Amino acid sequence: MMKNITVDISKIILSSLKEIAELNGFRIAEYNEKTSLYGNKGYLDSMALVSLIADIEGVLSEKGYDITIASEKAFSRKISPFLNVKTLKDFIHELIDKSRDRDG
Amino acid sequence: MDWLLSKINNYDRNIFCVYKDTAFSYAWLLQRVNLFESMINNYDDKSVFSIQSDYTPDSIAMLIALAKKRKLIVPIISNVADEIKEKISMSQCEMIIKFKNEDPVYEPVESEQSSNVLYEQIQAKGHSGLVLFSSGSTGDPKAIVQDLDILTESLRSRKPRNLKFLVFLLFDHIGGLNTLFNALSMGATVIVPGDREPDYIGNLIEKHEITLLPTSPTFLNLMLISETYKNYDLSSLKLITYGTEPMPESLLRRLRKVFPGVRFLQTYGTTETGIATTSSKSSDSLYMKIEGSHMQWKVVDGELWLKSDAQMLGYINDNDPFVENGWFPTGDIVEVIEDSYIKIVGRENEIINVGGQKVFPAEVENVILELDVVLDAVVYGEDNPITGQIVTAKIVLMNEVDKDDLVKKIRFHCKDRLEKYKRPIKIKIVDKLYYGTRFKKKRSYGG
Repeated sequence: MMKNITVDISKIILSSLKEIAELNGFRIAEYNEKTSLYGNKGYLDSMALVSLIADIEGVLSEKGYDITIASEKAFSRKISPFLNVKTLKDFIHELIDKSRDRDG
Repeated sequence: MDWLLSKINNYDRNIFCVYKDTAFSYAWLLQRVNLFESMINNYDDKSVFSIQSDYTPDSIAMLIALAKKRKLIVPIISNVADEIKEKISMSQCEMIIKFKNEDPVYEPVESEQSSNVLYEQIQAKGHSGLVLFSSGSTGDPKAIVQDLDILTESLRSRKPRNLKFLVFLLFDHIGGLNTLFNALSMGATVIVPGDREPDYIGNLIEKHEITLLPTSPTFLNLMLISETYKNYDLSSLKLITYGTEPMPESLLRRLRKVFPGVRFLQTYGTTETGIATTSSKSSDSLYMKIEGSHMQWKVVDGELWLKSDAQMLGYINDNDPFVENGWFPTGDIVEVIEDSYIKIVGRENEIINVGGQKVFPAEVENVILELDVVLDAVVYGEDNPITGQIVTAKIVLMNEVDKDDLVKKIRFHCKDRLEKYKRPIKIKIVDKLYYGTRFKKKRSYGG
């Protein structure tokens, strides 16, 4: 069951994405949940993906959510969490939920 | 080492050391050496002595007295009980010498006598020995056995010179001991610092008109950051030597602006091979030459290998590191240009591996340090499941700047100057970096 998460994950992803696109000179047509990230004609190369993940982890950590997005588990999924903004958002929600369950 | 004693005898009235504002002459040193020698005569059955002290006129006299008596000397400056215990046991030390109000106190170490082949080789030659410990960032320290007579042999031909050395590097460090013996062989004066903070050192340079400052790039950067040079008259300085870690190009440029009349010389050496005779291509250059017949060098797969007359006899607690007829792989990666000038690029074990591509921390640090608002930076690798490792930078900024804007500015600057895989993925703004007592950058997660 999805619990109450007080931050807007989509917004965090999109804001990090914008900065990385600006830095790398990527031209991203539209910023929304459908925006492709990595693989399947995504906008990012591997270094940009690593940056995006590190940035998001950093922002979430500042807000009190200490999670690790990139892991063996993330890569072994049938549908990659890094496909687009929505898959990544859902995956992060899932990680936060799990970390809360674990922390009790 | 008899040559050193006869030099000390000749230098007679020269000031050998200034300690806590008191000057001590070479004649005083010789007297003190003789006094300590007569004390050590009571311990003829013992051969391994530890001096637990930093530089003082007495600890220096004791060092020379022990060398004169052909003993094996273990200098220890640590105050950490566990570390001392480990070093005493590793070096099979039989006697600890401490100083209480300038008087030596002798404490025998209770332990089973055991032989040590490395020590026996030194004793067979009638030489004195030195046990130093590597301050390696990984693993346990290694106990390195050096022949002190051979190590100092190249100083025998030194001519008298009226110089004032600051002994900045520590008493248990090959570079520090090299400075000390170098100064003594020339009849020069060593100034012993009470602490190693930039402000204190600046004051000391002004007060004693120090001419030669042997130190590390990290300390020189601290001197610039603290603007010590504005508060004291440092015009007595003629030569600054730097070593123990790579010098960032941007730092050397800033130093040259602040100290335009000072010559800058890069020093190079390892505890395993002794200190090389080096000459920098110019005061502005990070390229240097290893000269002199007592040390040969070559580059194998980018790594500097040395073969030295002053090669250690071995590690007490580890296998022999020498390869192919006595060559020592230093672990330092170098770049060679024409006329055999070399530049240290970084330590092999500090290389960051980003998806199979190599990144040298010093190169990235150098680029970040090009920005005026950056006071200091340290770059290291962090594990990452996608690329194996990523580049992470910890940065100290000038006080008044906006941090968020700055991170962006640093990223754009790196983008213009570095290939993609070399750019820092994580940039952490911190209040200060940790250097440890040896003023070397610590490139690790905690650093």
